[in-house]
Amino acid sequence: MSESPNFSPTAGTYRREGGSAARRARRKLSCTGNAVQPGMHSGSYKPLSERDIQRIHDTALDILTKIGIGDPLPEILHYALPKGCILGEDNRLRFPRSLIEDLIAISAKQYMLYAPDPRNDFEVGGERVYFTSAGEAVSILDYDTQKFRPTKLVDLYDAARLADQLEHIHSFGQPFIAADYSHDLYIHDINIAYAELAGTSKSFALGIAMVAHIEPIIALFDTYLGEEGAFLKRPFCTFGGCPIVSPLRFGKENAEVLVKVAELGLVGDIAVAPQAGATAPAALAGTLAQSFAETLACMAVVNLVKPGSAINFGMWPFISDLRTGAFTGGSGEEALIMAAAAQLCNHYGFITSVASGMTDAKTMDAQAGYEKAITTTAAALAGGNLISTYPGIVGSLLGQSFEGMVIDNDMLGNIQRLVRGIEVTDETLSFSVIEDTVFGSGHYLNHPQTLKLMQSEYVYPDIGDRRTTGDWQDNGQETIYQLAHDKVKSLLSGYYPEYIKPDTDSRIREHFPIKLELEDMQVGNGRW
Amino acid sequence: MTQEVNETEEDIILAELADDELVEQMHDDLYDGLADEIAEGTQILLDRDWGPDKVLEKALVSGMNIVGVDFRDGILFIPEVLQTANAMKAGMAILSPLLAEIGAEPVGKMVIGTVKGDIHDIGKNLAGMMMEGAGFEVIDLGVNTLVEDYITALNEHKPDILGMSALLTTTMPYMKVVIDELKSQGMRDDLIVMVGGAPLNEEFRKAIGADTYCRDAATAVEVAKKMVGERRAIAT
Repeated sequence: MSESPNFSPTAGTYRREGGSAARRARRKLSCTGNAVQPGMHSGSYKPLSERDIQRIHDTALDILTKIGIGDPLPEILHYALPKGCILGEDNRLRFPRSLIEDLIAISAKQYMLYAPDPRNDFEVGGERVYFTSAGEAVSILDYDTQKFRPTKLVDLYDAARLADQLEHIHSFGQPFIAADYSHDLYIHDINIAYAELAGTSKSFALGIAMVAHIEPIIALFDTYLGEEGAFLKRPFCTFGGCPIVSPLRFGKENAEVLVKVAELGLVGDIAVAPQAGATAPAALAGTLAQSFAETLACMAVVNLVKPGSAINFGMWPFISDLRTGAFTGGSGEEALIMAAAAQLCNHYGFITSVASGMTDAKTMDAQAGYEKAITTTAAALAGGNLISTYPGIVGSLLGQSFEGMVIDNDMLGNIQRLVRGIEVTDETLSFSVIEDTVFGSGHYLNHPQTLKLMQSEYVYPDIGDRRTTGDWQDNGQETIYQLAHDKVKSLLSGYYPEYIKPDTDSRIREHFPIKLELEDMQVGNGRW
Repeated sequence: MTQEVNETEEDIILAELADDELVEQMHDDLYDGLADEIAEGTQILLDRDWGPDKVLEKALVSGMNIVGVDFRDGILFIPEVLQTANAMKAGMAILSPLLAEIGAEPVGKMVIGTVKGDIHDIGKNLAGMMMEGAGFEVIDLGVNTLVEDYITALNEHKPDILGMSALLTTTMPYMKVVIDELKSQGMRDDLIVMVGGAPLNEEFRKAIGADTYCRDAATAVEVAKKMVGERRAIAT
């Protein structure tokens, strides 16, 4: 068979396009055909009534007006006090109600999320749903030993390469830290930026600990782009963190990052994550009100710095297991409250960022499956614009599993199918197709409609096992985990994209303390 | 897919292609389920004095082997495979009488039917269509088939294979009734008895005395080709 579908392998005679090679090439483009695509419209799941939303809104504004946010930074006061915010003797910054309402109105409602490869750019906002990864995990289930060990920089590079190949992870948020460099935060932050840039052509996000590291990272990106100032014209990376320490205080380092990002005209990528029962009220409605107030404060800050700024409105109400006080990410309450957060934020047209998939299971078992599925389904149907689905993250956000990323990718494809819904038209109601079939062949398998819709109506799992029990039994009785384990190796052993050209790489390494070794970035490194 | 292919179809004239190019084009056309083109290509090769057995082997069976591989690999979907089977049938319609004329051995012949009491026939239909796609002649007795109908058809068509299917656990024991009747009439050893259906398994196959249980239509085709080949090897 010819590699090129158009030409005969023999004499160069023009051939009809078709045959095995052409079909394989087409199928390779997408394992799910065109049944789902990034950015489908959503928002049908609405756990709150209009009146609920109004009451949460009123309470949140009461919180900002009367209780305020503690420990405001001088940088924040610089922008906030001239606009009528009041700093109390208790060192809490109180926001006038009308100011918050004005800032809600001017806050950007959508923006273009750029990627290193423009084909992966997408516009965030509206009713569109995208899936991203995220996290601050510190351990990883080692591929070979299947035991948790501290995460390394090279793991981050591998995770980026893996996400680069997983269709339903639309953007790559840093899922874990590089624990091998956590003793030197400058080296850490420079290197996570490099590892993600080297590993993926999708947009990516960094959790940056120190404001002083932002400009060097931007300089690294400018070196990559070959021109000073180029990154800010087309920022393919967002910087973020948690600028609020609940309940209702600013967290110094991350709030500094937030202000700096806004000053640079970049999108603030925040996560405000009060924990119901521990750092927020046990009443879920109260947690919604507090977390909405806290996130509104962040939105206010960036818009005080620069009116019209965009912010990923990361209202992430978390849940506590009150038996221990520990965070639980996989509960029904988590699915519910995060969906409510998405609905609430969408109500104002914010760029809604919510979280899902934060299973408490320690490995990708049945518990992980149901917890990830219920939380992600709820968030997606509620219309989160950017859903941090935590692909492959286990152990209540503390562990990463590469196998889990592959399994979750399948799940995300199927959840997008729920988002898409059912198109009911005269054509899809299929009366004439039914009539043709009943009075014809008696089955639909070879009806032209079936042929036409077999890929556009249905999502097919990449590794999800649909074989018969007999087939499964005769072929090693592999679980999805084992299939994912093999898939990880097949995806990572030969895929070393050269996103950073060698001469550019040399220039980057001249100016920045890059710790990711070149030999670890090519085939034959012994890792895979 | 076929529609897309037709839309992008180039102006090629099959009759102007050299033999090897034509055969490759037929493999592609078979793959893409282009029945008219397969009929045309088959006729062209015959007109170039290719024997029907050679056309069958080089142009059609080899082409369907590619289909089989891509189906196994998840590249081709069932609706597409049925299109290829349809194209294969178009070629076979021309070749079958010619093969009979020269006394060439056909790929094989199968009588197939869903057993008495059972009217679930999608699996049986699928198996039948896939067998036809592989070049077998298939005589489909339909659903709710009585033992006497099986016997009559077997006597009339003298197939290599008897295929029986059932979806219900209540109807599957009827397969044994048929097999026992074959034995009592001395016909059992002349046939490969192939059974299939969702609730069946290997243990059941053994218990009723069938030759092979196939869990799906694609497996049935592979097993049928192999078993017919083995029987013929023994016979010669």
